[in-house]
Formats: sequence, structure tokens, C-alpha cells
Amino acid sequence: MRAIKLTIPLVLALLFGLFGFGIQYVPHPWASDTKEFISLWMRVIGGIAWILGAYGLVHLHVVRIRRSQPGWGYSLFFFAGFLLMAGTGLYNDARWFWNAQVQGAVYHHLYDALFVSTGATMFSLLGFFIASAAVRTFRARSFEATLLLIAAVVVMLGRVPLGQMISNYLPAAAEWIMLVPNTAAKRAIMLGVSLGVIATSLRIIFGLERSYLGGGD
Amino acid sequence: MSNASRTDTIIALACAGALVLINAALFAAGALPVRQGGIPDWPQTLVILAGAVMTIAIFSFLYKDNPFFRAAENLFVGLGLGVTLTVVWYNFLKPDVYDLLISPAFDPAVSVQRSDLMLLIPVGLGVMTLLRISRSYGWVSRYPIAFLVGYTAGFSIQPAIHSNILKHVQATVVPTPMHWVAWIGVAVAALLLAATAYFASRGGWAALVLKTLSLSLVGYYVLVRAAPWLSHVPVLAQAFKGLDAIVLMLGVFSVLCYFIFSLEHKGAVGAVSRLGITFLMVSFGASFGYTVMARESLLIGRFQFLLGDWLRLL
Amino acid sequence: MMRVRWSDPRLVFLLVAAAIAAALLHPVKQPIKPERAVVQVYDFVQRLPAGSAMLLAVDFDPQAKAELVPITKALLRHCLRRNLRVIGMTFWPQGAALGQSIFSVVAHEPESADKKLGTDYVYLGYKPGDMAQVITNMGENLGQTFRQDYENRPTATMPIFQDVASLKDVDYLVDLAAGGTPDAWVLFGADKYKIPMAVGCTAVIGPDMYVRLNAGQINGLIAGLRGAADYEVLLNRPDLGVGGMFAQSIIHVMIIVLVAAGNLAFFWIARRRGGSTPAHE
Repeated sequence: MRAIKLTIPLVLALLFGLFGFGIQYVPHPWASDTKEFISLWMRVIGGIAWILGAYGLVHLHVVRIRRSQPGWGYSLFFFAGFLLMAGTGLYNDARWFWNAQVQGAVYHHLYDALFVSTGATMFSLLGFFIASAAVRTFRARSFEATLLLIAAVVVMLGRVPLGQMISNYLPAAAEWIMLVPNTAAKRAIMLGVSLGVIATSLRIIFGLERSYLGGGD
Repeated sequence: MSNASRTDTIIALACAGALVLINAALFAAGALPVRQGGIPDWPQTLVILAGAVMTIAIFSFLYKDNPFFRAAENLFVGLGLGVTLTVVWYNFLKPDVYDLLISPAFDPAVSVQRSDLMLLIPVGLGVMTLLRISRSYGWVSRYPIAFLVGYTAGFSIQPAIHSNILKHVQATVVPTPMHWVAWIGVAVAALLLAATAYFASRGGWAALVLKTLSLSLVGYYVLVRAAPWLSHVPVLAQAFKGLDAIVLMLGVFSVLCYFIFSLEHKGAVGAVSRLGITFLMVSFGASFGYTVMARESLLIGRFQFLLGDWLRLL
Repeated sequence: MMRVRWSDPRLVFLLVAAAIAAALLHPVKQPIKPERAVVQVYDFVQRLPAGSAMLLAVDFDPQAKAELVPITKALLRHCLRRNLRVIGMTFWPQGAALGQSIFSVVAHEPESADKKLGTDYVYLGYKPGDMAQVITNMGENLGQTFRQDYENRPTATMPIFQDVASLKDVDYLVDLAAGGTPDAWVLFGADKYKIPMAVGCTAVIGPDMYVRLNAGQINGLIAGLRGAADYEVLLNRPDLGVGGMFAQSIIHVMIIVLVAAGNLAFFWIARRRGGSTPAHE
């Protein structure tokens, strides 16, 4: 039973991993058709697997309503939003979901009216919080913190026209900071992360890394 | 009802009332979108009014957590799920599964191609993925996941090595042609910085003078590139380019050294790691500056919408 | 009675809101000198011969529209002005409709009146699937990857794809990104098929893109609202980017002043306490 539950999936990961690595070196048209074919399979699996994520979110809110947990009324707004968008999307301006999606339908107006505005506003809230956090916690307690503060100030001033009006040296300093020390540090981080990703990919292929398979036997 | 909650209720009602009044005033003044003939353009009006109401409901969180914000937040999550369901249906499932395998059952003019029958395999694998939620049969989902994760892991190894490692090592260590003037600059800077590091721990006037000179040198090195006369001295411009390449290489090595935690950061390794920390702090400061810029831009965008598109003040 | 302490974050929120509103209502014109990385993108597009194929990957959703819509519009206007063939697409499902609306708005402006859909520009919409796979497939056969455009018109007969069979035939690729898409485009597209590439991105990921710029994997970078303003200045067509610059300047200066004031207060309090710095305020 262990073979069916664990060993065979690990062998499949090994075979497909080696296949995925090797197929990039095959110049034959068959390789290109195979890559397209596998891409299609991954799309289909991904599309059906999405149901898992949706189920998790819906289940959370259903439980909240059923058990009358604190704040259960807000879950009704969740279902209202979900049914509104999904309903208008699948209704498809009376052409229904088995036909191609109609452009300029009610769904698109609701998308512009509600989703676009709300999404943009959710992230813009961070503008207030980052200002407040910077004011309350940004302290030059040490040499490193002072360096961070100075770099942040130079970049913030150098990247706005007002900084250029104050002095031409501010934009030049900001540009140098981005092009040299920032690039150096970010490159080193990227090299380290990439080596880690490659190592993890190899560990997945050779079965040393099994956390992606989930718990159980 | 406590005083605090009574105050909050009054504020909430006042804000809701103000919102209704403002929208009514805009409508009466004809400030909202209209089509030819003065007929209101309802879709565009809905976009602006609904957008304004949702924006203000979410901004109300800045005062304190309140029912308007919670309602708008949950509505947004629901909208997002609805949008994603529509996208998944029309972009994933309908063209690749429904149109090829199911639609022919309702349309006698279309038949299922033999090659499309192969799609039953990924459909089966997709259904197997759904069994992840089952305690007894969750292991079945390991098959499609092994296929997806294994193939993706293998596929990305070669591009990651080439584009994320080799190209960047090359960009770091490939020598930039340096004029002899630049080498003199490097020698002077190295001597000065070494002397500063040596005397810094001892304190006194020598340490103070050397630290000031070092800071001035670093400041001059950074700022002189904006000097208008530099463009007339190409050898210096080239020298600075070479110096930047050396500083970049030093930075990459010192930051990589910092991240080697299997070596104790003492002596030479410790000194190089501390240099790495310096580069990291400058980089984080730059990232913070850019993050502030990004978040404030988003905020400016919303204010442009509220003041411009909604209130027509811009 | 509502109590407000001097350290109440809501005071900062109010100051920020007031500063932005005041700056937008009473803007002051400021000189904007475009950054070198933005000029590099502009110059490259300027040098492309008429009829060259541009691929614009509009990889963002409404959350990032304040920064990326101005960049996309400026770039699209430039491409249409230079009579380039513009092909748009996206890997972000929740931004597909946003991309379509940008293309539609810019293509219907008076200066683009002579541009035809399917000949001068097309928006292919959202392509589902793993980015690595899709970009690889685009690199081999673009028409097979996108059989229809966003509005379900078949691409096989469109003149814009006349000599653009795959990604290898694209003359310039620009990824307008709010997330990690530039990395996938570089790894599986630009580096693999040797396509010149630039990135327009939110300022959050801007610092990371300088690494690719330095390595020559991208030949230009338009980061944040300032990047959009720079490009609009180069095009001589000010829009939302330039319009937001005064507010951006004011808010940056305000934050710096408040941080400085906070630090001064912190060290003054520490001095009064005899040199010990408080862990929390």
C-alpha cells in the first residue's frame, strides 16, 4: 500500500522531472508539440484544482453562518459579492455560460464599478500605514539604521521632481544607490535564492523533498 | 450604549448621510456622466458612484475597524472569487474541456475528435486532485501533484542556472577596462579606508580625521558624477564606471559572505560580513524609499479618482 | 469624548490625506528630468523601424493600476505614434479586462484615429497556464497559443501576425508588471529567444529590476509613477503620471520631515532620561 501511496508518486515526480529537464534540449518538432500538449494538460488540471481553493473559502463562510459565529453577517456580503459576479458572468447577458463570453456585458460594468475600485483602494490603504509606520518606528538607533535611513531619504528625495529642484546631486546620488549598492545586494540575494531553488527542485525530483505531497503515510 | 459606541454611531450616520447628500448634489448638478440628450449614462454613473462608496467604506478603516469596512472587505473577497470563477470557466474549462468533450453532446453538428479523448486523462487527474480534502483518499491527489510539481521543477532548472546565476556571475566578474587614473583612485581609497579601519578602534584625533576624510571621499565619489564638468573629462567618466564595477563586485561578494552562516563571522570573514551588512542596509533603505513611492502613488491614484472623477474638482 | 494623543496614527493619516488633496487641488508645475533607464526604453522604441512588432505584456490587476496604467498608456501611445505593430496580452486573469480597456481607450484617441484593430494593434487577453510553459509555447508558435483575441476574433487571418509566427519574430518585448512576471519573461522568453526586453513595473519591484538591468537582460526600466511621468515628458504628452508628481513630492517631503521630527523627539527624550534609549514609545 505504501508503494501506491508514496513510492509511485515519487517515481512519477522523478520521471517527469527528468523529462521536463531533458525536453528543452530536443530540437525535434515532436518536443514542441509535446510541450504544448503538457501545457494543455496542466491548464485542465489547474482549472479543476481551482475548485479546491474555492471550496475552502466557501466552506469557511458557510461554517461561520451555520454556527452563528461572531461576524457571521459579513459572510452574507461575501456570498452577495460572489453570487453577483459569478451570476452575471455565467448569465453572460442572456447568452449563458455555454457560449463565448459577451464583451461589454453587465459583468464587465460590475467589474469596473466594484472590483477595480475596491481592489485599488485596498492596496492604497498601505500608503497611510507605511507613512504612519515610518514616522513611529524609523529610528537611527545604530550605524546600520542610520545608513538605512539616509539611503531611504536620498532615494525618496532623488526620485521626485522636488529633489531635483533642491539639488542636482540628489537624483545622481539616488541613481548611484540604485545602480551600485542596491544592485550588489539584490544580486547576491538573487544568487543565493536561485541556488536554493535549484537545490530544492533537484531534491523534489530525486524524492528527498516530499512536503509537496502532503501529510499522511 | 456606551459613550464611545454612541460617538461612533453618530459619526457613522453623519458620514453616510453626507455621502448620500453629496451624491444627490452631484446628480442634481449634472456632474455625473450623461449621454447625448441629457440621459444619464447609467453604467458609467454606476462605476463612479459605486467606486466612490466602496473607496470611502474602505478608507473608513483608518478611523477604526467598523461594519462598513468589514462589509466592503467581505464583499471584495466575494467579488474576487466570482471574478476568478468566471475567468476559470471561460479561459480554462470551457475552451479545453466543455467545447471539446461536452458541447458535442448537445450539438449534433459537432463530434468529439479522437485526439480530444486524451483530455479525459487530465480531467481524471484534475478530479483526483479534488480528493485532497478527503482524509481516507487524500493520497490519490499525490499522482497529479507529482506530475505537476516534478515537471515544473525539472523544466525550470536550466533557465534558472543560465539566467539567474551564470549571467549574473558574468555581469559581476567580467572586467571593465579601467584607465590608470582609476587604479590610482582605487589605491588611494584602499589605503585611506584601511587606515581608517585600523585607527577607528583606537579613537583620538587621527581616527576622527581619517573617518571624516573617508566619508568625504565616499560622498565625493557618489556625488561628483552629477558635476557638469565631468562630461568634458571622458577619462574620469570611464574611471568612475570602472570603480562602480569594483564596488559592485565587492558588494556582491561581501553580501554572499554575510549569508554564509556555516562560518563564524570573526576576523577577516567578520570584517567582510560587516561590509556586506553595509551594502544590505543601503539596499533596504533604497527598497523602503521605492516602497513608500509605490504606496503613495496608489493613494494618489485613489485621490485622483475621488477628487477628479467623483467630485469633479480636478 | 474622543481622546487623541500626539502619537495617534490617525493624525498622520489626516496629514497624509490633507497633503495629497491639497497638492492635487493646487498643483505646482515642476521640472522633470527623465531618468536614464527610462530614456533607454524611449530611445529603443524611437529607433525601431515602422512596422516593427512590439509585445506588451500587461501583467497587472486593478490593485496596481495607479502606477501601471499611466506607464502602459504612455508606452502604447508612443508605439502607435511610431507606427509599430502592438500585440498585447496578460498572464493576470483579474487584469484581462483592464488591459482591454487601456488598449481601447488609447486606440480611440484622436491621434490614433488611423490605427486599425488587427492590423496595427491587437489585445489577445488572458492566457491561462504556467507562465514557463506558455512563454515557451509562444516562443515556438504564437498563433497556436493565441487562436483568438480577447473578443474571440480569430488571429490566424489578422494582418498584424503576417510575419510574426512566434516570440522570436517580436522586435521588442515590454513586460508591464506588478509581480514576479518579469523573471519568467526573462528566463523563458528574452534570454532564451534573444529578444530585447524592457520592464515597466510598480516601484515595489523596481529595486529588484536594476539587477537585470545591470546584467543586460533588460535594456530599460520604467519604475513607478515617476517612471510614467518621465515617459510622458519624453513623449511631450503629460497625463496622470505628470499630474501626480507634485503630490508625490509633497508627500515624500512630509514623510521625511515627520521621520526627522520623530528621531529628534526620540533622541531628546533619550537625553532627558540620561542617555538610555526607550525600547518602545
